[in-house]
Amino acid sequence: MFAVETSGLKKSFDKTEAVRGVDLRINKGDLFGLIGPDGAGKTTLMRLITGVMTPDSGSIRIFDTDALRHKAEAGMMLGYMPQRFSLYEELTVEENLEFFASLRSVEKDSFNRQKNYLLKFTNLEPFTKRLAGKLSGGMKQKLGLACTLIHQPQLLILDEPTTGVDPVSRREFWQILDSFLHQGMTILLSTPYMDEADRCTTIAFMNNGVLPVVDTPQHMKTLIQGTMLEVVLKEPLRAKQVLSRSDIYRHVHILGDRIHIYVDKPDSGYIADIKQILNNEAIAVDQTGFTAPMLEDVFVSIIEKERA
Amino acid sequence: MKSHSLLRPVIKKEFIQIIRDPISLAVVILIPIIQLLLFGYAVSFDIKHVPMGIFDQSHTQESRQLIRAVTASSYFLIADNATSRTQINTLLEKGDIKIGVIIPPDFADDINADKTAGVQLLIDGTDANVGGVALGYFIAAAQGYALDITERVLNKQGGSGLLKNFPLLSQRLRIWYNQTLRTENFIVPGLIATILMILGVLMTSQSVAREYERGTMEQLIVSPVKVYELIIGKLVPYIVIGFVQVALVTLIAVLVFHVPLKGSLLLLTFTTFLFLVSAMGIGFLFSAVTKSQQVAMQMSFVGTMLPSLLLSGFIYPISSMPIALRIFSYVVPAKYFLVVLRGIFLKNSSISILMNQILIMILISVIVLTLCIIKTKKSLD
Repeated sequence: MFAVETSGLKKSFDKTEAVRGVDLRINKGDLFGLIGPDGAGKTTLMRLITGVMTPDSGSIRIFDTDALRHKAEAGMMLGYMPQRFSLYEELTVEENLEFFASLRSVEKDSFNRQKNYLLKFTNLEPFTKRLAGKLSGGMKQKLGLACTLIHQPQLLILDEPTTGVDPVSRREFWQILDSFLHQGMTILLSTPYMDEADRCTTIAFMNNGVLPVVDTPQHMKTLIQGTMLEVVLKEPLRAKQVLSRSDIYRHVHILGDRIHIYVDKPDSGYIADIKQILNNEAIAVDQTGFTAPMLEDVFVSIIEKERA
Repeated sequence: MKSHSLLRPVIKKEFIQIIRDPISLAVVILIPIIQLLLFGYAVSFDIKHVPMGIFDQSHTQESRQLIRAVTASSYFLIADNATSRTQINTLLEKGDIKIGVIIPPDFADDINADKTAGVQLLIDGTDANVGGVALGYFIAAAQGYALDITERVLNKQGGSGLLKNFPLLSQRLRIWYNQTLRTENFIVPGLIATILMILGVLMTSQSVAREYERGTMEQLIVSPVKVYELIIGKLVPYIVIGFVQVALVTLIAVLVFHVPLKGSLLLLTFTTFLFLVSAMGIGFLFSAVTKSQQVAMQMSFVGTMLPSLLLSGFIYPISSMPIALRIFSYVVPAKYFLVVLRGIFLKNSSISILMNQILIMILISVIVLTLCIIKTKKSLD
């Protein structure tokens, strides 16, 4: 039995196909990461799994329950936190928890226990009586998580839960997730952060409404045979343009202040060659070296392969 | 699975949300009071003190009698005694007078010669309503004077008391329900219906759209709450506010404007409930269809303000409207509540008399709430 099992899932809006036939299997107890560029269809896929949207075709099973036929039952087993804050700002922290608990018919004893536990865990205890609208971004996010956990779901679905959250709150947030994973919860989350993706047990890379690669982060990195030549420099964009024109260095990815160039082996001859090419174009190089492929390299190469 | 009703948590949540916004709550409670006071005092369909200009070329006892007969009532106010025809024209053009009376030089001579005497009347027709009513008043007053003269002429001809035996049409006027024809009695119930209609729709038009806009709808969709629980749960707190509004405006109607409340309070409560459900149902429908607070608000203004002012029969009788507008007026709940309010306040109408209105309000409520439930899908599609 899988926590989530979809087959042939499709959803289009007007003329754009957001999800184009997704077959997904998430094992119980997995931390499943959904990664991909903006507009890849991640949010739509999550909305389909949670039942917020109805697929045009395909099937969804949540712990072996047909989620399309038994929407309410499937809904009770999962907790869903949408990308943007979606709690009632006029209600206090406690009232929000109470409202979401009562929507799931959580018994009073169970509610009190879970509430105290979650408040302590999220460090929201001192703010119980504060209006949700008056919380900081990180606290809002933690309250959102607490509200989705109040009915003790077996499956947690989080849409970019840490986007726009400060680093300290982000670390706290992950500590909470870790502890629930230890309790056997299954988590499906999307994230733009590669370090978060690296923590996942399984990653699905989504692009153009499909999942071309689903694998462990470790195994995924081996999809790129060879190594990455890293060049730190001031003009990564121009460097990429210059290098892409050559026959050997076609796979160049920009990663902030540096570029990664795919090469077959860590040969220092490549470094000298690249320095030479960039020097000819008067592009200053700050630093060079070889590095193992990162997840981002894998994704960029997948996207480029698909475009080609 | 437990099948608790989730109505209570939704109602509680809505109440908290409403109370946490005390300014909006105060506005919503105060607006009907302020509007009722403002309109109640300001709006009057009585036409009084219409400015009149007179160019009396006759300067006789007879002409002065005519003027006195006309101005004895408070309908006209002599704004100017003109000395020429052109002056009357100028005064009319400038808008200083609405009605110009020109009495010819041979006015008295004609009367005394038992001939038909003529008076010229110039009326500013730009305000058709005032003009028409002023004309009516003038003719009535002038005819009263003419009757006096006729009697005098008859007396002079030796037919004393002849007129009394003349088979004149005798009218016995009796005005029912509002014996003194007080405008307040007519206007205040109309205002109550109109104000509550507009506010009821406006308040609720925000409710569902806000859930969509803030993303809380996603959470509600995932939860087992049913659409009807959501709609009814949202409706209840607003109905309570609606009753507070009705209680306050009814008090003001009775205590400030001395509108008699002749009918049953129980019937008033019952019909108010039906009206609130139908009006607020329309608000929810706007909200559910547009999914945007701003669009829903604009829709409410356009969709209620004009129809309930113009098509409810509050100001203009529906029977004199063209057929297309009359058909449109059938879906304006204020139209029915207006009849009900005037009936209960002024006529002590019974439930059987108002049955048509009651049934139609029930019908509108059912249709509108059903549409709401259909339109508020538990899905973001």
